[in-house]
Amino acid sequence: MNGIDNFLLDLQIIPAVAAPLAAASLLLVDRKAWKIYILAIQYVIVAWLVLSSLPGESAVVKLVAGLISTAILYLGAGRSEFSSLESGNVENLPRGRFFWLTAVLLVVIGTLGVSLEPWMPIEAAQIPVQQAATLLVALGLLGLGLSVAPLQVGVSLMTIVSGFEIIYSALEPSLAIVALLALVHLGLALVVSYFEIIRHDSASEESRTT
Amino acid sequence: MSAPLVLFSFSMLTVVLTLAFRNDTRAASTLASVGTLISALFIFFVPIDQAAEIFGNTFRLEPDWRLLGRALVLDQVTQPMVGFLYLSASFLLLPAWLAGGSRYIPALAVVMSTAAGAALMARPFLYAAIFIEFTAIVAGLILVTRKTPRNLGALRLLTLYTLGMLIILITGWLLDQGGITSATTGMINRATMIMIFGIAVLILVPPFHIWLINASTEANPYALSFVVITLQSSALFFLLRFLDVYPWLRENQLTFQSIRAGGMVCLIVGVLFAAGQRDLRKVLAYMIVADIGFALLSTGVGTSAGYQLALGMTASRIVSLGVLSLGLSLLIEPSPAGPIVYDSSAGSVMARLAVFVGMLSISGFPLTAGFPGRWSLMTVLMDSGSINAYLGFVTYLSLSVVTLWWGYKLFRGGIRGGWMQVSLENSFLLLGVAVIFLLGLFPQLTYPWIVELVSGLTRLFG
Repeated sequence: MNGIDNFLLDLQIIPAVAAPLAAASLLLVDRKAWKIYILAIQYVIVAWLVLSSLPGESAVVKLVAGLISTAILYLGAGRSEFSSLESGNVENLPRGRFFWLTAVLLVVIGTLGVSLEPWMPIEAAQIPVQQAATLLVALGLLGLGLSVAPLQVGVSLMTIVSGFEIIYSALEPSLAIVALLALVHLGLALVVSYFEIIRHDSASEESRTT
Repeated sequence: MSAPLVLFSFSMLTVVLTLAFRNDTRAASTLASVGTLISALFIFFVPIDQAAEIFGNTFRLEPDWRLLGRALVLDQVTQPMVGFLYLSASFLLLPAWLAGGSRYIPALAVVMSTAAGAALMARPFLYAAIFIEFTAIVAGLILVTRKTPRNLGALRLLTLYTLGMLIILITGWLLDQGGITSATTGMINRATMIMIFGIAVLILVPPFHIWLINASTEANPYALSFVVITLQSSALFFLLRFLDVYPWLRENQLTFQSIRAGGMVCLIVGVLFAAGQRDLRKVLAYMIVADIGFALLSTGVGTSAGYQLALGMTASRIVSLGVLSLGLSLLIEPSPAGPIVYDSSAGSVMARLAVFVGMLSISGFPLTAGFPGRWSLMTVLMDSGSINAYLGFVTYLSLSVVTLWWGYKLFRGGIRGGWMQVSLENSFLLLGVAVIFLLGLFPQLTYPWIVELVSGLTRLFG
C-alpha cells in the first residue's frame, strides 16, 4: 500500500459521511443533469471507501467503470432533453420535496439506528464504512420504491450495487468480482440510457402527431 | 483451445452477422437460429477434454476458460444444460421475424442466450447470479423497443433481478465462509431461507412476478416469451445445481417445503388472476405464473422423478409458449397498445388457433405437449395424498376451464372463408400446432432426452 492510499485511508471518515449525503441528494434533486453529476461524485466517494478492503488498482477500476457509466447516462439523458425534470410513467406517486426530505430523514435515522451495532463481523471494513454502505443500500431502496422514472430507478440501482460492493469487497476481494460488478454498472447505465432515449423519441413522435 | 472460448467466439460471430442483416429481419432471424443451432450441436457432439482428430490433425478442447482467477467450465455437468438453452433459442428464433418485433431482437436474443449459458458455466457457480443479471439487462433491451416503448415491466425486471443477484451473492459468501455443515442446523436454515428468497425472485414466485404482468401489455408477446423461457430455464437449472452441490440443502426438509409453498403461491395467484382478466395478454402472463407453480411443485417433491418432471414441463413450455405467443403477436399487431378485440374476425384464424392450442398445452390439456408432465405430476401428488395434491388438481381443472372459455371467446366471431390459404405465416403456425400435438401424443420423443439434460448432476440423480 503506497503513501497516497494510506493518506486516503486515514481520512475515510470523510467519504463515510459524504456517501449518504450524495445518495440523499440523488433523491432530492429533480434535474437530470444534477442527478448525473452527483452520481459521478458518489462513484468517487465509493472508490475511496473500498480502499479499506481492496488494493488501489481495484478501486481505480471501480472508479473508472463508474465514471464511464455516468458518461453513458449523460449521453442518454442528454438526448432526452437534459434540463428537464425527472418524470415517471405513473402520475400518482408522491413527488413533493417535503415528502422526499421526510422519507430520506426517516430512512437515515432508521438505518443508523439498526447499524449502530455491526450486523456482520467484517474486520476489513470499519464501522463508519459499514454504516455508509448500509445507508447507500437503504437510500437506494427508497429511491426504487418511490419512483418509476427510468433514470431514477437506474441511479437507485447503481447506488444499491455501490453500497453492496463496499461490504462485499471486504468479504470477497477477488478481481473477478470487481470486474463483473463493474460490468453490471455499465450494463445498468446502458439499458437505462436506452430506455431514456426510447421514451424521448416516443414522446417526440406523439407530440408531432397531435 | 478452450471450449467455452470457442462457444463465446462463435456466438459473437453470430451476433455480428445477425446485426449486419438487421434490415432484413427474416434473414437475421434465420441466421440467429442457425447460429444457435450450430452452437447447440457443438456443445452436444464435439468431444470436450478428449483428444480428437480432424483432417489428420489432433486437437483437444479444454473444458474451462480462465478469466481473472475464475473460470467458465463446459463439462459433463453443464454441457447438456447450456446446449438446451441454445437449442431452445434456435427453435424460438426461427419464426421470430413473423412476430413483428424490433430488428435488433435476433442479435440480442443470441447475446441473452450466451449470457444465460455463461451463468450455467460460471465457477464458483454462485457467480452465476451476476451472469443472470447480465441476462436480465439484455432482456430489458429486448422488451423495450421503438414499437413498444413503455418500460415499467422491464424496469421492474431489472430491479428484481439486481436485488436477487445481491441476495444470492451474500448467500454464496455465507456458504463459503460460514462453516456450514450438516451439524449447524440454525445456520443451515438461515442460509436456506436467504437462498430460497433469492431464487424466488429469479423464478417469478409472486409477488416477484409483477414485472411479467406489466411487460405482458407493454412488450411484443413473442419477445416476452423468449425472455421468460430463457430466464426461467436458467433459474430452474440454477436451483437444481444448488441442490446438487450442497448436500445439506437437499437433506433439509425446509428447502422442499419452501419450494412447494412457492409453487402453491404461484398456482393460486396464477389461476385466480388469470380467471379475472379481460385482456388475453394478461391471461397468458398469469398462466405462465401457474405453469411455473406446477414446475416448482414437481421440484418440491424432492425426488429424481420430480426434478425430471419439472424439466419436462420446462421443455414443453418452450413449444407451447412459442406457438401461443407467435399467434398472439400476429393477433395484436394492428393495435399493440390497446386490448385485443376477440369477437371480431379481424385476426387470422390460424393465429387464433395457435393461441388456443398454445393455451391448451400450457394448461395441460390431454393430447397436448403440456399434458404428460402435468398428468404425471398429478399422479405423483395424488399418491402422496397431501393438501398440495388436491389444490394442484383444483387449479389444474380451473386452468382448463379458463382456457376453454377463452377458446370460446377467440372463435365466437366465426370463421371466414379462405382462411386456409397457403402462406409462410400459416405454415409456421400450423407446424407449431402440429408439434404441440405430436409431443402430447408421443411424449417418449422428448422425455428420455430431457432426463439426459441433467445427467451430469450425479449427486442429485445418482
